[in-house]
Amino acid sequence: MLRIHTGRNMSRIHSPPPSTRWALLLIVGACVGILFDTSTASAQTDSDEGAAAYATMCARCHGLTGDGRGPEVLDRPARDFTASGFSFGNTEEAIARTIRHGIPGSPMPAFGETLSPELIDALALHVRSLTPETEEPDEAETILTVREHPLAVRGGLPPIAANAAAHVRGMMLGLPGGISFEYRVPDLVLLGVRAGDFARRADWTGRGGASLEPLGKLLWLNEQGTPRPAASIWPEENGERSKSAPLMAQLRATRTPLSGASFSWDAVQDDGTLVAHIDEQLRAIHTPFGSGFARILGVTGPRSEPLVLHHGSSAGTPVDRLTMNSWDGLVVEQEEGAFEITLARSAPGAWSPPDTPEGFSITLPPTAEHMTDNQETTVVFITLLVDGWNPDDQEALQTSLDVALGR
Amino acid sequence: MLIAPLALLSALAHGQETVSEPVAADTATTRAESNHWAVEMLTPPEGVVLEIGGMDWMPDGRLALSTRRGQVWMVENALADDPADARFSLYAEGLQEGLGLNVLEVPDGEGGTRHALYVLQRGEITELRDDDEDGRAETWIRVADDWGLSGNYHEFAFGLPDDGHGNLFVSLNVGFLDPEWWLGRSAVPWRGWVLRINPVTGQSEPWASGFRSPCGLGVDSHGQLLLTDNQGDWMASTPIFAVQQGGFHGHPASLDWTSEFRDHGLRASLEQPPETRRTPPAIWVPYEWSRSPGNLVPLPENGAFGPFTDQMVMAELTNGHLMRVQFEEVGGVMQGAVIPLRQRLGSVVRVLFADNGTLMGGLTNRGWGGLAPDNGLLRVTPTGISPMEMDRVHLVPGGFEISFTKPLAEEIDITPEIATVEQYDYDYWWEYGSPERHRTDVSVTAASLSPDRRTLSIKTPELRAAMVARIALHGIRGATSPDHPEKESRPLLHNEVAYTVNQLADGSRTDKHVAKAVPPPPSKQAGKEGWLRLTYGDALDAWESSGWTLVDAELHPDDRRSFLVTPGVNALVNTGRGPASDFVSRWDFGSGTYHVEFMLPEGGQSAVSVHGQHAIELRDETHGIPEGALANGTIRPSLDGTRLAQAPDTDAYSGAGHWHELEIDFLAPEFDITGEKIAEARFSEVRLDGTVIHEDVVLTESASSGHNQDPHVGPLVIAGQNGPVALRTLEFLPARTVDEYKEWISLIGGDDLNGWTTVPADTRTGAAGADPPWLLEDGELIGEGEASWLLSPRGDYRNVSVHAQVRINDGGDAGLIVRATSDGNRVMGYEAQINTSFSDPSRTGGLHELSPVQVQLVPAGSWFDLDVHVAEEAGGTRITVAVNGVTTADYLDADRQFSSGHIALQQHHEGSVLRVRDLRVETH
Repeated sequence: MLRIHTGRNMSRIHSPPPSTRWALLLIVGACVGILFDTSTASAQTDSDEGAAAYATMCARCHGLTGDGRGPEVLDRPARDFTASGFSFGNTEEAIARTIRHGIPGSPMPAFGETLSPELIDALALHVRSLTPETEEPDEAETILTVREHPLAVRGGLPPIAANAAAHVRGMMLGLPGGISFEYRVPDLVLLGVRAGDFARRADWTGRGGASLEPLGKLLWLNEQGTPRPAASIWPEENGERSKSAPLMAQLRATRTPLSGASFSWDAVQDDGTLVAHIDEQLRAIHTPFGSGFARILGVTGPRSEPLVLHHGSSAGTPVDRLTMNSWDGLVVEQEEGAFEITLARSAPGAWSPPDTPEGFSITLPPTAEHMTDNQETTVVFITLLVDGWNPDDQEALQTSLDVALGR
Repeated sequence: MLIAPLALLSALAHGQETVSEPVAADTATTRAESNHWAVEMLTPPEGVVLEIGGMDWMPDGRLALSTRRGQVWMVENALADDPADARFSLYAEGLQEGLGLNVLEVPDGEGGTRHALYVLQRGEITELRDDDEDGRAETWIRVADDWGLSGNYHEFAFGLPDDGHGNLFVSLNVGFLDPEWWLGRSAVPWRGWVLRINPVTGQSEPWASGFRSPCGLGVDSHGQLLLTDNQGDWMASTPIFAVQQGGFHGHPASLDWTSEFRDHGLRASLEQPPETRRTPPAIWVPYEWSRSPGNLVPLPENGAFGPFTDQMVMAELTNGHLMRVQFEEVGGVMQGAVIPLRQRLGSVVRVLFADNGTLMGGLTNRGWGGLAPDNGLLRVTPTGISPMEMDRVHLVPGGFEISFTKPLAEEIDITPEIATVEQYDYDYWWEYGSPERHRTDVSVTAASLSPDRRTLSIKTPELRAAMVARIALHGIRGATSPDHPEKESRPLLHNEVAYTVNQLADGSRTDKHVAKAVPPPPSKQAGKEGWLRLTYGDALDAWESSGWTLVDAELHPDDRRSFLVTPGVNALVNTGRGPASDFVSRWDFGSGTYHVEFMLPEGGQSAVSVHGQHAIELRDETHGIPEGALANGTIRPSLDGTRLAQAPDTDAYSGAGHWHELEIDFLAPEFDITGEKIAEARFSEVRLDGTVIHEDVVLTESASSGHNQDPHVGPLVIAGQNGPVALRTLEFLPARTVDEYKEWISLIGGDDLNGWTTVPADTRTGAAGADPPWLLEDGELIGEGEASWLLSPRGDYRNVSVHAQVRINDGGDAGLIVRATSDGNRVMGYEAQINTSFSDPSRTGGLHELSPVQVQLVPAGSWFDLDVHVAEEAGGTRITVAVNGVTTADYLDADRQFSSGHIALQQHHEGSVLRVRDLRVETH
C-alpha cells in the first residue's frame, strides 16, 4: 500500500492562522460582491478590507499609522511608510510583490501563500495611502513637445511593430512641424517615422527605467519592424563582388540647432577599422505630389572597398522603377491608391544594385586616390507618401524634389 | 541624539534588544543644529520640479544641474543673498536620466584647455555643448557608453567625480530581474562595477567590482575614490568604501566579469559567499542614521563651512541628513568615523561646496522613498556661530583620542563615565541587510583631557578589531569664551559617533571583516524539497505545447473573454502561433500532489487531467453555464461513462482574470501480480485556493479504458482547445515509497574513501577534516574545489541501478556517471546531469548529450533523489534517469557505447559544491 509523504505542512493550507482566516472570510464576502457588481461599492469594500487586514497583520510591526513603530520586537526597524521608505520601490506593484514574497533574511514574511491576490492588492493600496502625498506626475510633466527647436530624446524604445523587439538604447529626433524619427542607437538604423506629437517620457516615475513612448502616428515603418543595417561594405574577391557585410555604427553626436536635426556617426568594421564618417541630416519634404521625409547623408573618410548605404521601405507591391536624371526610385503600392516612392540621389560613380527588394541601396565606390579623406560625397534618400501615381509625373517629380531640397 | 541613545545603550547593557529610535524623533537637536547652519531652499520657476542627480560649477560661476527627469538647468546667482534672486534656465532636455554631472577642464586640441560639461545618462556619458551660444545645448557628444543595459529598472548609472587627472568615475547598479528578483544580478557587462573613463579619448577601464547600488561617489582631498552603497543583499548596512583599484568589494554578482570567472565560463553564486578576497568598507554607517546614502564631498580646509579638519560631508536621502565622515589609515587599512551633521533637510542625494563654503544640496527620491521635500535645490550656510562638536576621532593603541572644536568647560569631571562604548558586527550573506550582531559593551577604564582641554583620551582595552564601535559621550559642554563669559556654554551638539574598527592601532593584524561570512540560510526555494518544478526556467521544455507561448497575460480591458498578452515570462497561454493543443507533460506521473496555477478569462474553460483521464473541470461562470456543462471544480465523469460527474463540496472559485491554485492529492490505481486491479485511482483531496473541494473520491474506471501503457503513471494534461487559458507554476510532489532501497548495497557506508580513485589521479580525497575536493563527512560525500571525477572501487558494473540523494548548489554543476571508464584525463560513460542554475542548459533529470532536460526541476541547494538504471536489451543499452521517482529520461543506445565500468561522480568546476548521501547500487 503506497503511503503519501507530501512533505508539506498540509495543515498550514487547511487552516491558516486565525488572523488570516478572518481576512479570508472578509475576502470571500467581498468576492461575492465583486462577481455581481463591479461598481464603486466594491472599491470601497476593497479599501476597508485593506485597512482591516493591515490592522490585523501588518500593524504589529509597521504600526497602525505605518510609521514603523509597532509593538513587535524586531532585530532591526520595520519600514516607516510615513517617510516613504521601501526596500524595492514605492509603486503599488512593488509593494504587492514585497507582500507576496517577503524580504528573505529580514523579519518581513511572505504572505503569498496565505493571502489571496485581491487582498494583497488591497493591502498594497492601503500601504500606499499611508505614505506622504507624493504628487502624481502631471500628464503635462511627462510629455515632450517640439516647439521652435528640434528635439533629441534618448531612452528605451518599445517595439515599433507586433513582431519587433524593444530596444534599451534608442533615440528620437523631432522636427518642428510634427515629424519625428525613431532610431535604435547601437546600429543607428531608422526604425520608423511618425507624424503628430513627439514623445512621452515617464521613466523617472515609479521606480524608473521605463521606455519612452513615441506619440506620433506611424507614417512609415522600416521593413515591417526588422530593418536591414544602415551601412555595409561590399568587398571584392577575385574580381567578383561577394556578399555584402554589415558594418557597425558608432554614434558620435546629435545636433538640434534651430536650423534642423542631424546626427553624426562612424561606420566601422568588426575590427574597429573606420570605413566612413557620416553626417545624417533629417528633413520633412513637401512636394505637390505628397509629403515625406529625407535623409541627407554627407559621407567622408577613406574607403578601400565599396560602401553600401541602405534606406528601407514599408510593405507593398512594387509597381514602377524610376530612373531620372539624378534620381533613382522605386514606386510601391500600399493600400488602394496609396503609394510610397523611395528615391535616392548620389554623386557620380555611385550605383544602385539591381532589383533590391524592400527599399533602396546606394553603393559608393572606394575613395579614389586623388580624393582626400575630407572630401564629402552626398547621398540623399527620400521617402514620399502620395495618393496617386502616374508614370508621366516623373519629370515633374524630379523638379519638385530639387526644389524641396533647396538645390 | 541626546536622550534616545542613552536609553538604547542602557537597555542594551541589560541585555535587551530594542528597536532603534530613529534620529528623526529628536527635534531638539535639529533646532540646535540650525543655530550653526542655516538652510534655505532656492525657488525654481513655477511648475518646474528639479529631481537633482548631478551638480557642478561652470567657470562663469553658474551652477549646472542635471536631473532624474533628463533635464540640465543653469542657475545664475545661486549664492545671492536672497535665494529668490537665483535665475534658472533650461540648458537641455530629453536625456535619459542624469545622475551625475561634471564640468571638467580638458585639453582643447590646440594646446590650450577648455571646460567641458559632462552629464551621465543611464547609458552614456554625454558632453553638452552650446556651440551656437543661444543658451541651449544643441550638440550632444557621445563620450563613452561601454556598459550594458538589460532593461531592468534598477540599472542606474551614478557619478560623476573626476580623479584630479582628467578621468571620470562611473558606478553601475546591479539589476533585480525575475524570477529571483530579491538577488541582485549582473546580467550585462560591468553592472556592479566602477569604471574609470577618460572623456577625451573615450577609453573605459573597469576599475573595481563588488557593488550593489552604488549611489554616491566622491574623491577626497588625497585623491582617494570613495563610494557609498545601499543596504540589501550582501550589504549589511550602509557602507562607505575607500575603493581599491582592482578590488572586489562584496556583492558577488559583478564577479562574473572578472577574468577568473569570465575566462572559465563561470558564474558567481548569488547565495554562497564567494572565495574572492574582499576589500572591506572603511566605514559602516549605522542603519538608523542612513538608509540611502548619496555622494560625498570634502569640507573646505579653510574652515569656511565649519571648524572641522580633513573630513567629508555625505548626503543621505531617506532620513534627509547630512553626515560628517572622516578617514584614517590604521594597520594599512582605511577606516574611520561617521557622525550626524545637519538633519531633516529633505531627500538630499547630491552635495557640492561653493568656494565661499556654502554647501549646495540637490534633492530627489521618487520611487526610492525619502524625507520630504523630495525635489529641489537647497543651500546650507554657516551662521558664524561655531558649534561645540567632536572634530576628529582617532584610534590609538589602547583606546581613542577625540578632539573637539572648542575646549571643554572647566567644571566637567573627566572620569571614565564620560564615555560609553559598545561594539557590534554584521553578517555577510545574501539576505537583505543584517541586524547588528554580537553587541557587547566595552568598558572605558580611564579618561583624561589634554592640557589645552581640546582632546579627550579614553582607554578601552577590551576593544576588538573587525567590529564597529559606537561611542557616546555624556555631559560634555564647551568652555565659555573668555570674551563673553556671560554666554552659556554650549553642550556637545552631537554626542554619538560610530567608528569602524577594521584594524586596531596596537600593531596586531586581523584577517576578519566587520561583516563576517556566515553559512548562508537555506535557499528561498529549499523548503519545497521533493517537489519537481515543471515550468521553472525553460518553461516549455517538459511539455508538448504546440500553440502555447510564454508571455505576460492579463484580462483584456476591451474584451474580458480573452487575454491581453505582452512580451514577458509570467504566464503560459494557448494563444500562440497555430491552433492550440492541450498542454501535455512529456513525462508520466503517478501518486502524489499535482499543483497547477491557472487563470481564465470570462467564460473561459479548461480542465486538469491526471493520467490524461481523471479530470477536474475549470470553468469561469461569469456569464453563466451553458446547458449540460459542468460547474467549476467538478470532477468529470469517467471516459467509459460508468462513473458520473461529481460536483465540488463548495464553490471556491473567485473569478476571471485572477490567478488560482489547484492542488490535487492523487492515488494511482493498484494492481496485483496478475494485472488485476485491486484498488481504484483516487483523489484523496482536491483544493482550490486552499479550500477543500473534494475529499476521498474514488475514481472508478474500467481497467481497459484510458490510454496509458503503464496505468501506474500517466501524463498531466491541461486542456487548451476550448478558448484561452493561462498557466503558471506547474509542480508535482511524487508520493514516495519508503525503504525501497534498504536492501541495496551502500557505496559510502564506511568512514573514508579507500578504494575510490580519482581522475586526475592526484586529486585529493579524504575523510572529515581533510581538504577538498572529495571528502566523506558524516555519511555525506562532498565534492567541491577543482574539477575532477571520483570513481567507485568496482569498475565492472554492467546492468545496474544506482540510487542517491543529491544536492547541488546555486551555480554548481556535477554528474553521476554509470559504466564510467577513464583514459587518465577524462571520464566517459552514461552521465546523469546534476545542475540547477549553472550556465549549461543541460540540467538535472537529463542524460548528458543523449536525452537532455532543460527545465530546472529542483531548486539549487535542496536534496532530491536521483535514480539511474542501465540494462542491456535486445535493441541496445537502455538508460533511464528518474528524479524523485519520476522518470525524466529514457534512452535506448543502439550503439551500446559503454559496455561496463565504474560508478563515478563528476565535480565540474571550482565553486560547484556537490553533496551525495545514501549512494546505493543494485546489480542485475
